[in-house]
Amino acid sequence: MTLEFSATIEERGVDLALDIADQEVIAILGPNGAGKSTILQVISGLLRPDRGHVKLDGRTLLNVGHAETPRVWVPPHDRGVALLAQEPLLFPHLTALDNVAFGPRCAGQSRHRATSSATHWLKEVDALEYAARKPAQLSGGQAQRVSVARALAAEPRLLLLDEPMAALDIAIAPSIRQMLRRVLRGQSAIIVTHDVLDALLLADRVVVVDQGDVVEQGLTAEVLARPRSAFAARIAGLNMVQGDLEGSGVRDETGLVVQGVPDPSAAQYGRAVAVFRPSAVGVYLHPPGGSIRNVIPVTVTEMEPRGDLIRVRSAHLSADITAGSVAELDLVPGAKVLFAVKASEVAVYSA
Amino acid sequence: MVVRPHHGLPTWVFVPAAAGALFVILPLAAMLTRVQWSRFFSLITSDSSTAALMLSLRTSSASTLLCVIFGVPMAMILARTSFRGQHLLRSLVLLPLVLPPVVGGIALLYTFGRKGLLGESLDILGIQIAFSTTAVVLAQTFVALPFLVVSLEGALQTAGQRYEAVAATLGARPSTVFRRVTIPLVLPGLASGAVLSFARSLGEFGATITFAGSLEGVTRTLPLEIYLQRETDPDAAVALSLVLVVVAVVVVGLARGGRGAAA
Repeated sequence: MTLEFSATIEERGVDLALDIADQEVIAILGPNGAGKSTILQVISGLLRPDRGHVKLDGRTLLNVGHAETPRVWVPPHDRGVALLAQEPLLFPHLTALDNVAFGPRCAGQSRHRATSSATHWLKEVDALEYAARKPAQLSGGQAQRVSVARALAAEPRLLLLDEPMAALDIAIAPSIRQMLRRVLRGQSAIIVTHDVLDALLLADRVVVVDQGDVVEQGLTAEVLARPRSAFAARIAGLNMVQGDLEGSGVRDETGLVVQGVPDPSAAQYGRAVAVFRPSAVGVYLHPPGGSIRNVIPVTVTEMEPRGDLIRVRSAHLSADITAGSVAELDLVPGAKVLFAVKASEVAVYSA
Repeated sequence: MVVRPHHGLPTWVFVPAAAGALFVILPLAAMLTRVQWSRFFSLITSDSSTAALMLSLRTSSASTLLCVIFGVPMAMILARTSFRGQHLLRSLVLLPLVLPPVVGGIALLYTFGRKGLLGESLDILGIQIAFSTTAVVLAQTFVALPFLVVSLEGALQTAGQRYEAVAATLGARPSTVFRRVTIPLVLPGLASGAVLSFARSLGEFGATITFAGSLEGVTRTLPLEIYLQRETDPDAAVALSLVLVVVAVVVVGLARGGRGAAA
């Protein structure tokens, strides 16, 4: 995919330009109100900027407010750009199957071909069993799977995803994210998110947007490993262990092994990363019992308040725990403690 | 047992509320007491009654159809676009809701009547509308159209544009969006709007008698027949009134059913 994009919207204080060449999946990261969704609305044709230019794979979709070049406005239905929103927005009067067949039908396919295409995509997102159900009979996660199938069945040149996991129960977001990682292979896509995991797992390249401007862009791994903007540094506040794949875990240079849930498509060996949130980390003085598979001895280097939690940092890892726990454990910098994280909280995938 | 939250209303509101309800229900009951049940069926099946009833059903169906044909696009434009003078246009379109129907009849007469604004041109083409069944349909459409527009515009506003936006990005042309997304989503609102328009058409009196007159079998609809019978045969008027009450009850039930499905 190549994309040239620029848009100015006075009313929203948005003035953005980005150029993307030969990348498949782009993540646009940024805090709420940074203008991320505005970019998607302009690309999809749902919003007409005061001044703007959109060129996708060599085809000009939009050119307005530039006196020296001819005005171009391609209507949304003719752009080949599908939009997947936070809410599934399945048409309530159609079954899951008919929802997915909507795009193929609009493209002029016969009922039979549209149905077989819809069946294929429902199978791809593991939602074939819901084919005959109306949206009201689906859970949030099931509906979002069907919604992904519907967007892909339209065979868009570019798929736009607007925080597709934000409205989902946190328990089911990981499985949807893995599904997206699978189905987005070979599909040009732009995903807007404030969740760094989406960027890590789904995107080749990230664009960091703040206050209506692009503040940083680059290959996802580079941006998050060496953040150059305050926002990227903040959002990269994840624990990541890089190393070689070993079973369902990752072994780093120091010999530390972190067990996790490997992406099923990951290679059986080679470079890999284990990624987990500081909030998934528990802090103990003595080895905890139970099913926690990752127990890592660390020395506390510093502590800082973070919302209603305290971020406890060691040299490479962080844990977010309650102030009550900090008091109970009598934590001070220099204390030797154990960081524990369940393998189910750790995403493992090829680096 | 269904647990209901405490209503929290002051006790005294029940008194005026009950009086108001009684004010609506009592006259209907009073009318029921005057129905001559022994003659009821012969009264409502007399030639003039049947002709009036059939004419009412035919013309009301036709005006409901016209309301849908013109009202759906009007509601869509009012709900989905914004332009200068939109508020004024909306107010003007909804004017027949508050206008005395007889005023509407006069307005129609000066538009489509023989000496009217369009009537003279139509007359040259050999088309005469005033005092014909067409005039009945036009009079009913004039008073009933706002009901459909108001009802559907509300449904469109409630439904929002998000589904339509998604449909467009899936490759649906505006006409396809309209047919496969917009209309199915607002169908309950459209149905209740159409039912209300039908009911308003069925009850129309003032604009009809002014613009279309009262020719038996041509322009004398059921309300006109009732008004005329009242002077010669009050029993027949009461019997026919009961027929209209029953139709109205059925219509209100249908409209409520449609809204219930929408919720």
